[in-house]
Amino acid sequence: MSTLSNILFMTIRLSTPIVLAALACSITKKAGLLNMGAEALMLMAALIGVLVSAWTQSLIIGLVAGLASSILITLIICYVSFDLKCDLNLTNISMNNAVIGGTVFIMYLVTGQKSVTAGILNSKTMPTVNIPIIKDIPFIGEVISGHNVMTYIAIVMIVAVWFLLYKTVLGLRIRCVGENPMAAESVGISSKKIWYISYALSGLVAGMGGVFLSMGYLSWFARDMMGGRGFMAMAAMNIANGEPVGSAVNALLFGLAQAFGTFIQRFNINADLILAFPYMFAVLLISVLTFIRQRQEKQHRLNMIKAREQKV
Amino acid sequence: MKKLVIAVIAFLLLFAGCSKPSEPTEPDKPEVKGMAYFCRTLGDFGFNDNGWAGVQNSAAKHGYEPQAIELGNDTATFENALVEACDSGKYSVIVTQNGSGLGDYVRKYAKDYPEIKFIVFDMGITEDPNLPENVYGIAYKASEACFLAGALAAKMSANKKVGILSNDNPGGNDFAAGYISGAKYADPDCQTYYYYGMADAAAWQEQASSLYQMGVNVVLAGSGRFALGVFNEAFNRGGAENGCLAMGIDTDMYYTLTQSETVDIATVVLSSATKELAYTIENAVDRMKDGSLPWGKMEVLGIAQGAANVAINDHYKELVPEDVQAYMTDLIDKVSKGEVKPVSFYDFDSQEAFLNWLKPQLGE
Repeated sequence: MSTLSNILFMTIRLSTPIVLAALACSITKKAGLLNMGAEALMLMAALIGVLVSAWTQSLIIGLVAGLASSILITLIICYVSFDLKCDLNLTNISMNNAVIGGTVFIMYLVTGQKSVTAGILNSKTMPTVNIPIIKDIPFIGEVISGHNVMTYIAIVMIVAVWFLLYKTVLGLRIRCVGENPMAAESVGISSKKIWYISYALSGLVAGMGGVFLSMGYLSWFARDMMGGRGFMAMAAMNIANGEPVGSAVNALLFGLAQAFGTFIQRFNINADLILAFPYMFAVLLISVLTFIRQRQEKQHRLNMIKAREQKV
Repeated sequence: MKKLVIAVIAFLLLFAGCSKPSEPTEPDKPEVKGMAYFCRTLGDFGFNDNGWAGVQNSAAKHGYEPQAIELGNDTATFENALVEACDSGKYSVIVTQNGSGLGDYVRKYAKDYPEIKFIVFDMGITEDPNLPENVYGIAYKASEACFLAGALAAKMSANKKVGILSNDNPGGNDFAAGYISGAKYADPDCQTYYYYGMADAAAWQEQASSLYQMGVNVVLAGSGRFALGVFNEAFNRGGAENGCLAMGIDTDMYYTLTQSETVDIATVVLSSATKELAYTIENAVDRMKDGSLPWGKMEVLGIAQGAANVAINDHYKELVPEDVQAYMTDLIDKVSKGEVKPVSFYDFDSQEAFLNWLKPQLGE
């Protein structure tokens, strides 16, 4: 493996959970909701996946339970926000805190440990896949082949989410509600129902990111193991304005920044800079893109005014 | 309302040991047998667990009732927790780590509780060694253990490349100073790499991946919690057979891992640079009992006092060739006699001085 292919391989591996979480955020964003709870969804799925697969010694049951748990969390968020009318962002933030503490609590009840389940629980992990023909191609094979099966599922999910949002009736309804809930209501679409559905789907996709971290990338659960990936995903999604493909590309860029941060250490660059690099990169990307977008909007408004003046 | 919330939170945090914080010691109960152990969180397979083992052993030996008080990650609550434990009157001995300000709080409050004895371990070597009358401090020469680990790594590296992953704080830099000076001592041609650790085990795994990719044979993981990421990577790359070995810190990680179900991963652990927390705490309590403990002082303990070492276990004996084993035995002897002096981060006047020393040692 050459250095470059190693970095790219690392990028894909690091990006997988961020891509999945970004897709999850993009589904709710299109329904007009900001999913700040992606961190909580991933964390819960990661823990429950490990616990259940260790109990049942079955990978599939563990996965299903992990995904179900994150969907359950979204339903709680939805019920509190849309039925009990609590502010959505506040609900998400408090859910994040509750799950960060709650997962440690559950882990302690079950295993008696408070920091990692490694060594206590022997959970199943998802296998890595060597793609038959591609793996023999010199450079591309080294980068693309040999990843965890969830990485390939993530790539499929990019297309699936795009298809869902732009090519299906449900997707159309989600986007309608996102644009204007009142207008959607006036043609008989229940916006509350759509919000519930989009949040549950978001829970499913984010849950995949969670189980990937604890049952694919690593083989154990550690407290607070998401390490801000949910928030990086939210940033990635916001930069792309909720577009699934754009969100995934941004998530990949964040992964590249992390891999690059690891790589440049061999040149002994100042440590503080290295540790801050992925986050600085996110801030920089957001600033630049917002600047460009605002200029475009300004230009657009100016053109509108000009067009109106010409009419007059 | 606010006071109530604070009270409830404090109560929850301390429910293990201090549910009745304001109750004074009753005069008809002269002998208080509680031994409190302050730590961040148990279950880290390393530092916190190791100290707790020492407290449990010495409590069993001398008839104390051990009680772990886990403080979690919110450092703002630590000061209150310590004061409340002192006020509760349940403890006659309080054992605490020095980190996260706990040592400073002991310095601040110990004189208000002359009936309680404090044992503070893992203090900084450069700290003021004069403590209040009822406090005894232990500092470890981690650089000595890491020096030996570095020498062993250099001897075991086929590519003459060794690496260390550690946090950029005085403790972590001390590991690196010892490790790198050890590797250079054992083999001046050996290339050394020092990576600053990132925020989670997954990131540590990537960093280890990057090191092994460059042909590094042995990586010392300078964190108990994130070391599993490094071991995982070494194991995925084929372990000892493919020249990918790792080392642990603070406790004998091979022993810890074989106690659990992750036996496979344990095979990549060549050895560990240990701080013998359990031994030194037990030793301190023994000396406290026979009255020979120098109260009011901090002692700096190293290999000579059995407070730091490299883990020599069955796995080590299996992996390491006999001539290297003999070399290591000799080197341990030399270091404990003071004939060879490991470099320590605390030898340097400033971070800049350390970096100036470090830079020429690194890379190709």
